[in-house]
Amino acid sequence: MVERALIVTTAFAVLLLTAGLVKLLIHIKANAARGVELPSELSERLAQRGGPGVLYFYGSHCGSCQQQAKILHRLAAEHGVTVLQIDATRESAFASAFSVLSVPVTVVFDEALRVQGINHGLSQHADLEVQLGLATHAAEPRGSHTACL
Amino acid sequence: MSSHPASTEVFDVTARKFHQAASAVLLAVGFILSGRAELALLTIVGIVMLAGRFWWPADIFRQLVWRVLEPAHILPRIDRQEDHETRRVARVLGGVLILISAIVLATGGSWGWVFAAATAVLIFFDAAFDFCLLCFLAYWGSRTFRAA
Repeated sequence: MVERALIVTTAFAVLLLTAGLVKLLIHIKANAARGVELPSELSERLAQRGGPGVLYFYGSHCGSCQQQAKILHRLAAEHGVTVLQIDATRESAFASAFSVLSVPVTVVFDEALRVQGINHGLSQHADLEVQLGLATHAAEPRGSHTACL
Repeated sequence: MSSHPASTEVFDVTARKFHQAASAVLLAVGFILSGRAELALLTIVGIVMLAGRFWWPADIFRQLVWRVLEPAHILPRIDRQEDHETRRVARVLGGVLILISAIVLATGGSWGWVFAAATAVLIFFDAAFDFCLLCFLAYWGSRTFRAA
């Protein structure tokens, strides 16, 4: 029993430490990318549409990406922001440039096409509005719906 | 800013995380106790995961949150936009794997813990970091496959 307790404790500590370190690295890289201009090839793609907007890294077999796409479509319809979709599995050079470890990832950029924030995982509508300068604070979602998960 | 709160449905993250934490802790306790307690805890977690997916009153962990912990303000309710479809699939998969573990252990196979341990790790990552380990592996598999 003591042996098994030690195994569980060690496994828990290793998992926590590994995930914590990965999160910290992602956070540091995301902070370092703030204010940096988008790569020239992406800037060319965005030349017609301009900023502010969102680069949206997605994958074809990713459930969360479908949710993220809905949120971004809504954001584009409401505020006219640019959304550039990039298949992270096909365009791996761009994915590497923004440290995409898993999808979805959203990169928010301003009018000057400078990075304002990088979000790993499903980004909330209200959080994106704040990053894009369309709202001053993240709103609490109302009209909650409880589902059987 | 929009007058609409969200473009997609929002879900109670507190209840989800409590459910996941309770499942992971019970699996760990089952592993430590071994014997009958091990089988009982694996079976309970597997059934709650599987049955609660199709009939929500069977999810006793979420029921505890909704009926006791949140009304008593012990845990705050946090609603967020989430990908519940993928989690529903993962939940069924996890429940089945845990029940298979219980059956294997009941028939004397000590390797039965492999499935339950893998499920516990996936649950832990999602509960603690909102990180989908399976999605991560699928993404890198797909990226490597395309590169090759």
